[in-house]
Amino acid sequence: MQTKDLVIIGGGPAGMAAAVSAYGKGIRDLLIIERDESLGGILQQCIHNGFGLHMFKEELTGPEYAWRYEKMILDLGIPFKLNSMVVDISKDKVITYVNEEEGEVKIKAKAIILAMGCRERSRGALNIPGTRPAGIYTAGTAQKFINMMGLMVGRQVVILGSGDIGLIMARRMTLEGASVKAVCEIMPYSSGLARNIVQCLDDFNIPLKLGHTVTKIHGKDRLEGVTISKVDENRRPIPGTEEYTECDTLLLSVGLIPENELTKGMGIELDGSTRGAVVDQNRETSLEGVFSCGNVLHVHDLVDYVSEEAYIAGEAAARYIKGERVKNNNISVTASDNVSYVVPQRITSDKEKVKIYFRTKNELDNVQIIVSDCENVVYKAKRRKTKPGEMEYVTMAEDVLNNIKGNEISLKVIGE
Amino acid sequence: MELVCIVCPVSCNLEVVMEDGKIKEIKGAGCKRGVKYAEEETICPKRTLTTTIRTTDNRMVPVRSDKPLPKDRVFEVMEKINKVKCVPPVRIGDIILEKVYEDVNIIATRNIG
Ligand SMILES: Cc1cc2nc3c(=O)[nH]c(=O)nc-3n(C[C@H](O)[C@H](O)[C@H](O)COP(=O)(O)OP(=O)(O)OC[C@H]3O[C@@H](n4cnc5c(N)ncnc54)[C@H](O)[C@@H]3O)c2cc1C
Ligand code: SF4
Repeated sequence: MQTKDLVIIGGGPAGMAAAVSAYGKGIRDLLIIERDESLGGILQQCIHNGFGLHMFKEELTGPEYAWRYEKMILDLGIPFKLNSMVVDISKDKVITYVNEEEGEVKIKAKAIILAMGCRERSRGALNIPGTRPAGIYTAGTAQKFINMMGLMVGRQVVILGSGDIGLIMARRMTLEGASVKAVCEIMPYSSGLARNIVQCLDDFNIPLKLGHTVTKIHGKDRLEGVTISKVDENRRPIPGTEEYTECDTLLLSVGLIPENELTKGMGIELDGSTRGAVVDQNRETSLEGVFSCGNVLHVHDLVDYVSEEAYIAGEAAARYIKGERVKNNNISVTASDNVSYVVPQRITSDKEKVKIYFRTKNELDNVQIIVSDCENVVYKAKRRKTKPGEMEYVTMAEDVLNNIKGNEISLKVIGE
Repeated sequence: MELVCIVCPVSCNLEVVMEDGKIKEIKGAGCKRGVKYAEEETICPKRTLTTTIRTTDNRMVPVRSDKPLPKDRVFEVMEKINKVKCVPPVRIGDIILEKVYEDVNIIATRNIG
């Protein structure tokens, strides 16, 4: 069987940045395996601008951001396989992939970085009553059809969910001549970035219906319309508020789920809130030498943070391979009041400062972030505002980590 | 006037204080680019346009305007873009359409071999 020091599963921004960083730390026997026909992952279909402000201090489009990393991979001569799908990874790190030329191939790796990204929630997970006509797509699928294949998916559009992909698609379809009737959001706020509400909806006078959802789908073969209803504070449709809207296309932008089938197959511990692996500050999972980063670990709103996280995983994998990784601690990090999740969920070394990423459950003002151990508050920070749609982080310095009592810290948020 | 800065994902809430039809003060910007944005947005709102152009062999090239365009010219420029096809290969940064509006060019954002 072939062997490799490091195999990276997925050639999106996470996989590419992880490879570049491991290479930078001296790893030469490595390979990226990507199922698509090019590197870049989902960025290739995100043709709009807004990527890379943190990483490159420039506003790039998705494909331009992907190219920055692809070029590094090519210049460094980091090997990658395209059109190759990883179908299994065993607990002892044997990777099985398939492609047309080679058929089924097995590689044994010293370390593995999981960077498979995420997929979209689809209507199956939503259970809207009514028929099942053609014309219902996830926003990402429509994005792929229009931007990569040049196929227009419809003319009169309703979008369910106001996440960024839905907002971006509202503008994209409008530019291509479609009429976007409404964006419905069941919550009282949008999970999309404010800038996207301005430049994707307001610019084109597309109504954002907060506290509304689609309650019925009409049409036999092709979608003919949807019923939109107001919801109460418990997100239940209010009878009598139904309104019929004619449309031939319904786009669903109702969230992303990390793609962790392979991770589950390896018996790696998963976090019920992030739906990704439980990791330490190195992004190492419960299985030694297996790391996870990018959207497969938790859904990121900005690709810049994906790259940043991938650098951590790549460097840590290099240290692991060279036998230099230190584990001298085992503190678990938990999400408490108002916090929906934290990453990493474990801290296994006090030698380096650790950034803890988290999301809040609600939109809050004048926010206090409090980290406590079993006895005391160990860290405090303030923010003017937090939103569930925007990831936050706190940095815990070495001296803070050194002074933790017990083996658990919890992060809570208080706000108005 | 209240605005949301769209220059970067921080999305600062800006307040433009007007006096005698002129900008007196801009509040809330997290950085200088926000101040510039608020000025422009008050006088002539501009946007970067991103879309695709088909190649003669029916593949899609993602493109963008190399500078922001006045917002009310966007559909006009879309029409111009949708009338053309480009011949591969295309390299990232290549000008696909020159001067679609004043000095604004449409450039490729991906290599298409
Ligand atoms: C539809 C959609 C639209 C998005 N739009 C935006 C946006 O506009 N702006 C933004 O900042 N973020 C956006 N995101 C979030 C975006 O995904 C992340 O910012 C970033 O692309 C995540 O990088 P990644 O490398 O973790 O995942 P991805 O980019 O998804 O890359 C994962 C890669 O792994 C490969 N892969 C998966 N499984 C296997 C396997 N078994 N074998 C081999 N290869 C495999 C995939 O083919 C893919 O190339 C979007 C996400 C989705 C799903
Ligand atoms: S003002 Fe500066 S920091 Fe704030 S959103 Fe605009 S560009 Fe970003």
